Amino acid sequence: MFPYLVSRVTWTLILLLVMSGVVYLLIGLVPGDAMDLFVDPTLSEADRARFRQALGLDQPVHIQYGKWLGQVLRGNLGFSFYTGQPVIQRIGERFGATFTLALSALIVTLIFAIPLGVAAASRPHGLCDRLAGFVGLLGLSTPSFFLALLLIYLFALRLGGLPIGGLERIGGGGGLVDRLRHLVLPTVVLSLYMLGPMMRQLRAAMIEALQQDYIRTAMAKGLAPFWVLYKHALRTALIPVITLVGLELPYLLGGALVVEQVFNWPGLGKLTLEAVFQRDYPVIMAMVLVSGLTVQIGAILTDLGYLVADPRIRRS
Amino acid sequence: MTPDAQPLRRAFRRPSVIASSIFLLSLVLVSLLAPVIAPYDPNEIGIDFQAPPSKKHWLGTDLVGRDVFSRLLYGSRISLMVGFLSVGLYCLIGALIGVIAAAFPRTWDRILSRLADLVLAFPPLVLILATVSLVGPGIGQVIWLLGLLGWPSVFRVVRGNLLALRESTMVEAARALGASGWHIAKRHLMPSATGAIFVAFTFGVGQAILTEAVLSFLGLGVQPPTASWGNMLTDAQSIAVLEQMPWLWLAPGVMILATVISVHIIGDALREALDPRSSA
Repeated sequence: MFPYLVSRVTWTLILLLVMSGVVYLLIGLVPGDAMDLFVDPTLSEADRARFRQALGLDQPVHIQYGKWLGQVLRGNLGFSFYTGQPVIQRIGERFGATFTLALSALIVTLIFAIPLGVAAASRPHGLCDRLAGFVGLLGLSTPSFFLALLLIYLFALRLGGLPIGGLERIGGGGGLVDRLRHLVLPTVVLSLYMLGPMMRQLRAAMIEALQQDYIRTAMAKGLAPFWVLYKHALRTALIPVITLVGLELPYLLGGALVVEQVFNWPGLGKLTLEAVFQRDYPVIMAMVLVSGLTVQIGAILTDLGYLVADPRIRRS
Repeated sequence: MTPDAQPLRRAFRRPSVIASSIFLLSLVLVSLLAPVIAPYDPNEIGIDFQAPPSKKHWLGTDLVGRDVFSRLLYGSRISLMVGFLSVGLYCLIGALIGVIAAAFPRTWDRILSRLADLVLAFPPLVLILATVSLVGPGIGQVIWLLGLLGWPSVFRVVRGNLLALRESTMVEAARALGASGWHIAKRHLMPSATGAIFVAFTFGVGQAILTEAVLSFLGLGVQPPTASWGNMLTDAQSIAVLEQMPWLWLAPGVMILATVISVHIIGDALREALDPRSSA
């Protein structure tokens, strides 16, 4: 266990180092920087030079990178070109909203994926299977921003009742119910996207599990089919689902960009987009690294999940 | 007729697969004939703006008076071009270096596999956004970025396939019979790898079309006035447009959905036909 973690973390650090270098180099190669955005173009050349110096933009790229890296290792991801706040603080402010949405989408996905996947596997090519297949196909093929707009149109504008976006109602003070109501539509969009792959994996794994000898034994003992399905078969079949949750984690934590944008959800995805539009490179850099980090964390959590779910791996 | 064609023909007899194929073929035709079919110049600013669908403008007009139907036709060109070019590019790269890796398992395989890990270690959309923030948006950027970031998936499939086949009894038997390396590659390795590449290509096209649409929707992909299905939905981010002009955003959204769903249905059929293990 321990050697595994060490090699895993080392590889993660190498990846992040290489990637940060590449991104930094690219930024250095491109003309135009924060100066063009913030500094009053009517300023004198001497004043401009002073600004460049203050922002550290006058130095060669590798020096800037070295300085930046040194700061990162001390937990300082730099300062946003746009707001002047520490990047880490901007990320911290937004993390909560993204985490809430991600968790809610994950829970809803699992609530629907598990019974649907099990039902589909218990009778392959039956009605449930076809329905699950169709829902999965639809979820994977629908552009999330279109679905988001459609849901806003139907449930917020036409039927009313649900808010068009945001974390809570303007001014706040709506309490938990108000926040939950704001969570509904973005959760639906994210869950529908994840539902398909999740059901598919579970179905395939369940079908394989149901062919095993211990299932036949359980059935022969006269156990109720419900318990055989949900206790004996599902436990093995959950392993690929764990993998998928690990793989989807980066999507949820950073890739749900468009959903956050359309629903005006103040999370990390929206922060990334704002940074891209504002050419706020310290924030963009940090978000690339954070997203890379979530991929690695997802992978590590997946492996740990295996340990919990599968005693065979635990022993070896 | 090779034995491989049998399951393929069976898969393509299913109604959903036939319907998807017809839809995609007509889409290709429409995109080629867009200048002939389109009733208006897609970028021409007319006098009726924000007009609902009518006999004059079948799908209405947008905020500045351009004909939505004509823009929809021209938008299909963008989606198909981005899909085919970018995925074609990365299938080529992936297949090529997959073959190199499988041919030199001790040297090149290590380097190339690590490189693939590196690319896969970051969510592609975030990398694309970071690059677009540097080089600016545009259709060329979208094609190149999708093309250059997508290869690891194809690489892994091709490499895994070839490495497994190298050790197979089929190849061993061919070698024992005195077959040349070229003959083995042509008769045994290539057919297996091509099937896998075809499946990866199909699903890749669906994903690429979706990604282009997302980027253009956000204003970071295809730039107006050029029409793309994604950027036709951009205006619908305003609540007034969303509520009062559904013709503006419904049609392009439905077109993206229909195209991607058709591509996925064909991809599923191909996968089932070419890889019997995948269908339980």
